[in-house]
Amino acid sequence: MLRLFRWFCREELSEAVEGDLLALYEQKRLRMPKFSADIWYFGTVLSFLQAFAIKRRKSSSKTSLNPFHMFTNNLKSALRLMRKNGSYSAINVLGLATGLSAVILMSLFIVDELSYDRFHKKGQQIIRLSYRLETPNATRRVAKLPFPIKQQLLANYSQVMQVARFYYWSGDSPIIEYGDQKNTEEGVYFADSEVFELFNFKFLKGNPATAFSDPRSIILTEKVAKKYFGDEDPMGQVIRYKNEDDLVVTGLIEDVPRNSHITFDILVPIELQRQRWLGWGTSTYDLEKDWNWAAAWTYVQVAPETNLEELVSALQAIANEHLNTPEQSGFYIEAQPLFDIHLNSDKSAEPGANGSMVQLYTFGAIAVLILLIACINFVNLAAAQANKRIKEVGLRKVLGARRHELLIQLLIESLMLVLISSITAVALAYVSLPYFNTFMNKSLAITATHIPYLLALTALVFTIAALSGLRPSIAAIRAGAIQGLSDKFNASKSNQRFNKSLVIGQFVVCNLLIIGILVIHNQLNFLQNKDLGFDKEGMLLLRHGRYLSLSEYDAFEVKLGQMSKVKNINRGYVAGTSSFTNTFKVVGDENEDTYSLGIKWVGKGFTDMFNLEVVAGINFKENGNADGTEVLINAAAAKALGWTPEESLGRRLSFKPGGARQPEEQLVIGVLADANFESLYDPVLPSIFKRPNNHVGGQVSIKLANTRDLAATIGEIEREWKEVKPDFPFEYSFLDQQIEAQYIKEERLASAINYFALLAIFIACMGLFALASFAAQQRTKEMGVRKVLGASVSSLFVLVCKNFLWLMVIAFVVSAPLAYYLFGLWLQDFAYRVNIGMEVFVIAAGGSFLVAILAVGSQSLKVANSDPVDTLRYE
Amino acid sequence: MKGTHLGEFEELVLLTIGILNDDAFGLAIKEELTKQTGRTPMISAVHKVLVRLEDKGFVKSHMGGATKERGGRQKRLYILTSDGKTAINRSRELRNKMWGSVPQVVWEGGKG
Repeated sequence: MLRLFRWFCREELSEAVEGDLLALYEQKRLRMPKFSADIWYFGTVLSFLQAFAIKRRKSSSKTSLNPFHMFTNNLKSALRLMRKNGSYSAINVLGLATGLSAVILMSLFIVDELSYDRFHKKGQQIIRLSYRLETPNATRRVAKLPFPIKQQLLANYSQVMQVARFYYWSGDSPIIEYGDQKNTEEGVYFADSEVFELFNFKFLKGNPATAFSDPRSIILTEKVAKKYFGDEDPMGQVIRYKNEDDLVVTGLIEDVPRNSHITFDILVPIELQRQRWLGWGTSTYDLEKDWNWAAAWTYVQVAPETNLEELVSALQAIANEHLNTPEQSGFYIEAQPLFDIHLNSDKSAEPGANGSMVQLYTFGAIAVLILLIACINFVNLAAAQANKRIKEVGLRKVLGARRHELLIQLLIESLMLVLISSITAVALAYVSLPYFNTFMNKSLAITATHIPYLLALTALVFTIAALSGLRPSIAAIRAGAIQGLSDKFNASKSNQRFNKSLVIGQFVVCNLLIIGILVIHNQLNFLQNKDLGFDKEGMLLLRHGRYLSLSEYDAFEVKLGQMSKVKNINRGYVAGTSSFTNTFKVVGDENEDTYSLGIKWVGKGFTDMFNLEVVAGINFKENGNADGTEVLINAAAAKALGWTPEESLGRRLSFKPGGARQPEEQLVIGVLADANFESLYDPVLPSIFKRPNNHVGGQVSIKLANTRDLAATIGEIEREWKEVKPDFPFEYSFLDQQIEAQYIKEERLASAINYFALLAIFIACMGLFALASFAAQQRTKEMGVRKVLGASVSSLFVLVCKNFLWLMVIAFVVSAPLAYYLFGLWLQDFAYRVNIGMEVFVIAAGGSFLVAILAVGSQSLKVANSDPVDTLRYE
Repeated sequence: MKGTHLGEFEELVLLTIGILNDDAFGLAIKEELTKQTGRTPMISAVHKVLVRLEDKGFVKSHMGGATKERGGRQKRLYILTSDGKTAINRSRELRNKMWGSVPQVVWEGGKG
């Protein structure tokens, strides 16, 4: 208590007042318990907190100084210093600025990824239902459910407030026609009108409640409306859909925000699809009654405070009643919150490419690492600087500078560097944002909403950098003036050890990144060059091939067969695209085990077309088989069923094709060599190849004889198409490109890591360079003496480099096992992966050593070459 | 200089210092004031006034006389300066003059 008093009270007063207080306290103690006396005492001390008693800071004994009068002087000297140490300052600013701008970009990315679907105001209450199918050889999670589940949910579950479905099939690509414009639109989604209740897609025109009351309605986004109608009002206009139905535009909505997990250009009612398949009353297929087809993304708004787990277990009743059958059981209903879909979904059949938490963590980690490297640089450079400035500090002290004034001066210097760096960083980030967007496939922008966040980031860096920059300065200030001026002062051993460990840290990070680049690069190369087991070169896919009738296809096939540039044409399943799976049983198996196998409906000449080898048994006959029940299986399927290829011949499998009532039996006549038709993330899917006896619908693929003169060849094919199917545009894609697109996520990750790793290495090198030049400077005299005593230039060079190379060795030893572990984890996602070989580590080690020698070498050489006469001169 | 005006409490403290003569320090002044007037001022208030009076030049102080119950702390003893004496005198004179100017009727009329 008394200490508190003495702390604030003026000296000339405190003695007397203390005496009074103590005497009073003694009096009080006689009359009341200690506790009350203490309280009184405390209160009384506080009562002295008044202007008359409080210490006067600038009391008459010291000169009162305006705290700001040195400010301009400090600024000036900071600027002069920067100019004098041009290269140091440049390195410092550049390092921090590039690092910071990288961090800004990455955090923009992360913030954007985390913002997905947050614009839906009811998002907290929305869940998406999906299913899980457990079979003996696999578990599949699929994001969709059959259409009729909607009525079940609304009728039987009180927790369900509203249900909205989306439906989309990428192969659908309908043709949209208005006036003289006729295009295939990719983004046409089917939806319930309830989607506008659940989600916040903003209507510019039209009424959300009634927009879909007629099945022949269509809602356009601004983008599409502009394309078809320009400045005209689209409301009430009639658009022709798939050359058949006339739809009235009943709504105009804003473009779907980029941070939505589901993205569409045009919405049409699900009822439209239903009616089209019902033939507007002339047919019997009703999608609202089909429990066999899981096609709709089903979103549910649940009542507040619903327990998800309870709801899911209650929903299982639906699965048990409608999905699980004696032939196929193992269906489970799952639920996930809307906000989890973008980053935490592992389901197939998602409406769009999702992000991943792994990628987010990778980016976050790289951002933090880069920031770390940049800050380490700052510390090391500041340390090098401070040692050079001991003399200046000493002189200032002699001239009467006080400790806190020196501190302020040094603080201003480092803050100025940080300020310049921050401004440069924001500018850099701004300039490089378009490029970053291109390779990340994003449309990020620095907007006003980011300003507080940018400020916070800058403040953070300010603090880190200023504090870290101060550490060595304080050491300099602490040193006595004499010590500073006498040339005896050197960076203490512990200080140097600290700086060295920082350098090791930097290079551990660099090594990790270099190894990361190499591993990812190797893996991608491996995927792209891996023999998939089928021929994908020069393969042309026609987008609207599906719409060809049998006779049209025959005509088209004959025409193309006459063209010398076309080697082959096929209809049916196309290798390299995804396919359906179905549940099979082995005929005669007593256990009635079920197997989930892929089924591919292939056309005539499928094996020739994709160059597939029959390893056992026979191929399909030229014109199909009499009853069409003969199938080929692939080697993986034979293995999954527990047979050798030879054993499987003559076996029978049964399955129920979609819509069929009775299971069909299939006879295995041959086994195909394994080919990886699906993604290389997964092992070869065990599959059945079925060749219908009469015809097969589906995709049309064309194998070109060669890829020379591509435009002319395609032009010829287009002419033939126009003859056969004039009302559908001729659109195509190449199979190999389509397959490569599967790995776009890895490509992006790789290119991002490439850039940022290079940046990190660059920054680390700058730091090393500065440190080396500092060390070289410190040892100038030593080198001079050594030279006089007969040391050679090369031995001196080695002497200086040696220290730094040791650091590299330690950094490498630390980082190698870490990298092995981390990238091993990453590779685990791939069914086919490269090994992390020795060569990766050798290259990484060699690379970092080379870089280090480049950074250190020039300085070392300079010292080693210097003339001892110059370095030893003393005046 | 803040002028020579005296506040009421300042005047009382000055008088108390006069009463205590050679032994006027913070706590003694507080206790004497209580005895004379029945008031119980805070010790901090007393010190505050003492500091102000010293600033105005009405009192001066010196250190002296440590005792055991004060934890060995010295007292700051205050004595009146001639300015201080003049100030209370003037204050009394002012009052007397004003008393003299109040018409007799105010006291006897009893209207208020």
